[in-house]
Amino acid sequence: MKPGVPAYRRWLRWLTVAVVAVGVIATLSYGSGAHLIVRYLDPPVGRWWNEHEYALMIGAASALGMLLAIRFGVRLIEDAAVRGRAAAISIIAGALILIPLARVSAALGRLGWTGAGGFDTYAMNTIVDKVLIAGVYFLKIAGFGILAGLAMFAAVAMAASSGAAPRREA
Amino acid sequence: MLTIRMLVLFVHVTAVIVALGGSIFSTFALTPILTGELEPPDRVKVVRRVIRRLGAIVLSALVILIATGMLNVLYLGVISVLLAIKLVLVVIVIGLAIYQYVNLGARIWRVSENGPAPELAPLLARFRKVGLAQGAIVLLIVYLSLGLTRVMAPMVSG
Repeated sequence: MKPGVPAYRRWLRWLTVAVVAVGVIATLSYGSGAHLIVRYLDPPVGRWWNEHEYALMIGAASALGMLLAIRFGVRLIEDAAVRGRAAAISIIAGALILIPLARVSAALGRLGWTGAGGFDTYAMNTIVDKVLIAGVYFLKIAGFGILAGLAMFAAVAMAASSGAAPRREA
Repeated sequence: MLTIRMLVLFVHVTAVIVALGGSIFSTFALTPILTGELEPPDRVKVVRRVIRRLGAIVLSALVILIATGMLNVLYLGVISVLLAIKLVLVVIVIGLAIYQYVNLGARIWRVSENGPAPELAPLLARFRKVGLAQGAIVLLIVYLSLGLTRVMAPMVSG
């Protein structure tokens, strides 16, 4: 890591890497039914994983969307102090709204192009199809996360810019 | 009839009116009057306050728009191509709003701290241009929304 990189950028980078990792693992596991392997190796852990992999998948997707929105929003602000403040507050605000946002986004992600639920025939598909459907579902949730995250960042950035006297980044 | 769905839709439409109406009023009514009636030092004082307050109002309205918009889609029960295009446009509008009020707005605030300055005029011109672009996209979004309600209603009910 470069020495002059602001703390909020490091946080954004690490959080993005973390949610991508959790999201990919949870989505692959959810789509392929990999909890069975974990259950075989360690039944209590497998049961816990089976109960939480869906929540982890939708939570990671929503968090990823919000983090991408914050990263995009930060680039639109010139002032370094405002940028840092807005990013830090947005990360905290994002964490606070993550659970309700993930639930709403998960419900929205299930909607199909024709009004029928996109998950109606999910159980009848092969493992490859299920992984693909789960992947698309993950991306749809992340898309709604971007939308919500950007709106949240806009409000936070406006509040942050109304605070202390702005200054240019060196 | 007042249902939660109608209430959400009402708040959504009100937020559009507030966001778009505020920008239109500022661009086409307030700014020309200020230019004609006030001397530059007083005008700058008013403009910088208006930009800051309008920014808070417009960006707050955008948050309400997104929250109620997501609930509206849930009630509608369909994600169509038209809606996907609309959502992409909404992302662009929010990006422009952040650029307009947080970036340009903060620069205008800083530059005009001690009254009129030579850098102020181009910043205000860009602020106005971004606002107009944003307004045009919002109008397109409103048009697409009308299309959505007309196309989706028979689809969902049938």
